Amino acid sequence: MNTALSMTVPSVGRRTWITTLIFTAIVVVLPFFISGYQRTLLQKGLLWIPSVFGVYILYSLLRQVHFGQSIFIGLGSYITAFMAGKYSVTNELMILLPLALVVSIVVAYVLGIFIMKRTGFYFAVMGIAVTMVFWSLVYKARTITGGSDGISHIKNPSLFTVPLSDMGLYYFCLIVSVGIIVLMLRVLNSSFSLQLRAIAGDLEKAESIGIPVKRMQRLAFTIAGANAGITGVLLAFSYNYVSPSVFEWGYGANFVQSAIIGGVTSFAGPVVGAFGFINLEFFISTWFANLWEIIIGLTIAIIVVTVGEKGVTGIVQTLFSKIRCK
Amino acid sequence: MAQTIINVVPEGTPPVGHIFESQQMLSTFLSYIFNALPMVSYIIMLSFSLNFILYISGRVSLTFAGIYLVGAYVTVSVGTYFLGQNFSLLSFIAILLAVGLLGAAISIVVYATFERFLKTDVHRMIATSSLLMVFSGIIKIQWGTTPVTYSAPFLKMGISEVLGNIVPNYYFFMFGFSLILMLALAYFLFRTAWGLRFRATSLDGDRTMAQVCGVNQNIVTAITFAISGMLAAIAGGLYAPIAGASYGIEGNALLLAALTIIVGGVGSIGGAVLTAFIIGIARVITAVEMPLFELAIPFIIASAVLVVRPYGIWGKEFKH
Amino acid sequence: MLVKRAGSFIVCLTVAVFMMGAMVAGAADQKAKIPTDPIKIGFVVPLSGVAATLSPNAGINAELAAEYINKYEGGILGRQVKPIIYDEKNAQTAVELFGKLTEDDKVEAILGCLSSSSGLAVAPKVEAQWKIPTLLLESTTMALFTKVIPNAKYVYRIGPDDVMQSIAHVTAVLKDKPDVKTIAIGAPDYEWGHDVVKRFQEIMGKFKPDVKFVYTFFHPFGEAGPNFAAYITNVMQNKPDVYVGYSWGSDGVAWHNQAEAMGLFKAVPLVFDVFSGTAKGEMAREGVLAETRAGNGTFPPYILGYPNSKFTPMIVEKTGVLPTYGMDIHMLTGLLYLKKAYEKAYDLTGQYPTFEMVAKTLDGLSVVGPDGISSMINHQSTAPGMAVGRLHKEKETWVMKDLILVPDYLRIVPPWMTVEQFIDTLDKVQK
Repeated sequence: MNTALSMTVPSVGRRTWITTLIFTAIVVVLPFFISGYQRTLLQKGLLWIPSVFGVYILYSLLRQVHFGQSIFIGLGSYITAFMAGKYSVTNELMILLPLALVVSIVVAYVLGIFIMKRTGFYFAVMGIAVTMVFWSLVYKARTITGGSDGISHIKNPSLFTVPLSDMGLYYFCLIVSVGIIVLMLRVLNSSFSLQLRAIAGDLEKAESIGIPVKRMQRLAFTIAGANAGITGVLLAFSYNYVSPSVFEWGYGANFVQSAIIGGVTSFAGPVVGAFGFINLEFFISTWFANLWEIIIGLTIAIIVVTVGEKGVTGIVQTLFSKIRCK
Repeated sequence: MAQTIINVVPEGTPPVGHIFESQQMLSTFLSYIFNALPMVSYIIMLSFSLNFILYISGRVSLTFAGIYLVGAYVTVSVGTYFLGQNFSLLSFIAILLAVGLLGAAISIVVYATFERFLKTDVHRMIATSSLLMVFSGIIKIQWGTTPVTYSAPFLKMGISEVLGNIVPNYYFFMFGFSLILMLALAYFLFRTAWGLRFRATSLDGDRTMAQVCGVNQNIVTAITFAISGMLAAIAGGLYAPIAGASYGIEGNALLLAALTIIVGGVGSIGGAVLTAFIIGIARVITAVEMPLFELAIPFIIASAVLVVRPYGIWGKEFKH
Repeated sequence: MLVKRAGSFIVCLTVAVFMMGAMVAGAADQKAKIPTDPIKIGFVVPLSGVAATLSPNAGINAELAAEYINKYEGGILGRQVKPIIYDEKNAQTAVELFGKLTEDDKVEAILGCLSSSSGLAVAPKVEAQWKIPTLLLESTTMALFTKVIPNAKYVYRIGPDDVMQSIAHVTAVLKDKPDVKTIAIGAPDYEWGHDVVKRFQEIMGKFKPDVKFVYTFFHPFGEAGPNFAAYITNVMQNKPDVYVGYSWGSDGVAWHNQAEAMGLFKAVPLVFDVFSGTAKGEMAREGVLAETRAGNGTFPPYILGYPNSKFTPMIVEKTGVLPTYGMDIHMLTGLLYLKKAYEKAYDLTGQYPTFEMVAKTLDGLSVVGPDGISSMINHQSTAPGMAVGRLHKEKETWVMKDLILVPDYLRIVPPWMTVEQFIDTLDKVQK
């Protein structure tokens, strides 16, 4: 959609796998050194990563801004809230995760048929409009969904009928998150990624060389949606509470902000973006309770203006390579 | 629907009950239109301040929502300070125009110091939406978080009675004011030499060609941003007497504006006006008849339009 | 021999005296020492978003409430109160902030949560995990203590609950207009709005079964261009005897302006507008019934009251507007409750009170707050300031005349009854 965006997308090499390993080691050990709420923040960061990766795929490969991740997070959360909270059917992760996955894949596929026809600004606003439709219906159907008060008292999850403690849930989230990171790296390293890049480059050319454009676009959208559905289930279990604000477009915008701050020139982008955004927002708003809006607003704006496409990871990469050259 | 009802009334001599019924229906339908008027005029101006930048300079800038807030707050403060409970139409219009100039100034300053360094639409969207947080933070420091009101213009203008409907005159003033601004903008764009330059650089025209012909891009873009800021600030100022100025509503304003562009199409003044009517009346009707869809209806309309007509009902396809 | 005996007697006596002395000294020493460093109290209050419109600046006013306690009440157990103030953004953030306050900042009590959703998210975690004395400012939803934490130990609520509010409103309307036949109601479209309207209709049905609710609407909450014209037209077409309005914040201002312009106040004989008042009282209107919730200039003269006579001038000096009932007043009431609970627990046990002691002591306490004497009964404060009265302008300030206070036995749901059972008993009370 824009010539300024035709930059290189990184390829997955040995260094990527080593970085993933180091990252995993850090997040495995970290909970032993930090307090409970910091673990909650860490867990939130881990859970955001799949959703941010969804935005990342659509942005780095297809050049589209996906504000609609909140649709699937909301669906996953509300499925969990109904099954493990309001109607107390089951709190088994091995039932809820596949269920949420199937629902978000089906919804994402159907929505993808309509949404992926549009590009640029229209794609972005379409994502916002659809998530707000979900929001307003969930908000209004208060006898079923509990309206703005949401659904509280979601039970703690169990895994293969073994109830998970808080720490257990953290490590489960970690496994899921790292699993999805590895899966996404494989996806980004496949011909699928190349085909998507070809589509973003020139749609007609891509079609003429035999790439099934529509199917590929829908597939990308569905992958993003599936990721967010999983995030939704685990987020609902982490806070034992769900409210319609998960469907709001502002919530979906958080993932776009994270992806942009993280940058698209490195696979570390979504990871750095998710953790960076969450911690920036949390700590600045606790240090400067009255001024946090101004400070965070300016910080994000300045980051976006100065680092641009590369994001924080890109800048760090450039710095490293400069040091190495010297 | 309106046509058939209006025709039924004068034609023939239907039974008495029938006349009464159709008059009732006409009156109800008119009440929908009148009640939608403030929302309509507000949507027209707010959406066009986003639309105008998108159309002329091909940029997405969300700063307008912050300027809208500032416009509302400044109107309240200035109005209360200078006029208080007294009210004269001319001085109120003067205040509105001054607020418009302030909005234009803010918009130019933000563009010149910040927005012009942004390279892509995504970055513009993210960066300007975080600027909205800065705007609301500044408003919190200056005005606090409780709503402030200045209602003299709205209350002092009185009411009219049209076919059994009570309509505050301010609704007509508001609608007229925004329509005049839109007509002036249309005149400027399509009837003046400067307007030609704007259209030449717009999505309709050819920017490179325009530059070759000696159109100064920077000036055109700066004026575009100024006009957009002016529209947003005046929208805030016009709505302030009705609803006061309140903290934390900029996200909602932004959403309405974006939806209107989707439905109306980029760069279409008529589209913006008609869309404002569609959304405004749909909201009023659903609010009364089917509240479940009240909040969803603008989004449903926008999604449906995007599926059927990707570039808006009155819009054209742009290689953007 | 005798001398020997006398010697041993003296020795015994000396020993006994010493031991008694030691015991007395021990008894004096038994009261643990109080640390001299400031006592940290956490505040989680909305400083951004639509909920922030309920106070001119909740952050500043929280600091002022702490300053009041330090300056005029001598702190808590002689320790200065140090407020740690965070922004309650949404339910998830509120949960994280409660974690930070208990685990990192080591606060000794938390005041906070205006919105029901964050209260609902936080309360179960406080009970199960953090076990810290928590005073919720509003979170009015009835479900909190009936469904979500039925056996609450640590969570208390300062603001009124739904039933309390609605009984006050119904009583006020009936007292002012005993022959009411038709009522129209408007409320914001979120859970609180639906709850109060439902309760109002139920309780009115008990008190006066022949009242008809001719028109009820729920308007969108906190929108950018609030437009009430369609609703107001419908209200006026239905010609009710009483209009009951629950709109607040920006919606409240818009509703009031539009209702005034379209002549609703002239067309409807009695208007009961819960939030008829902004920070500066611009929305107040002669003769309208209002609740003290909106506070703001509609209180009885604050110059006389205790502790209002000191607290309100502090806020007026700093922010230029009067404190609001929902947040500002509740923050001070909460601190007064905590002060009393800490001091009582210390007096009774002689130890520096643990969280559990403070939480247990809180129930049954009474304090003189800025809104009068309030008591904590079954984890719910009696919220005395929540009275209804007629707005009246006196020397440029709005005051409330003919305040209608509801007796306590009518406001508090007994612990052995469900809300529904309690409401069922109301018609007997009325007769």
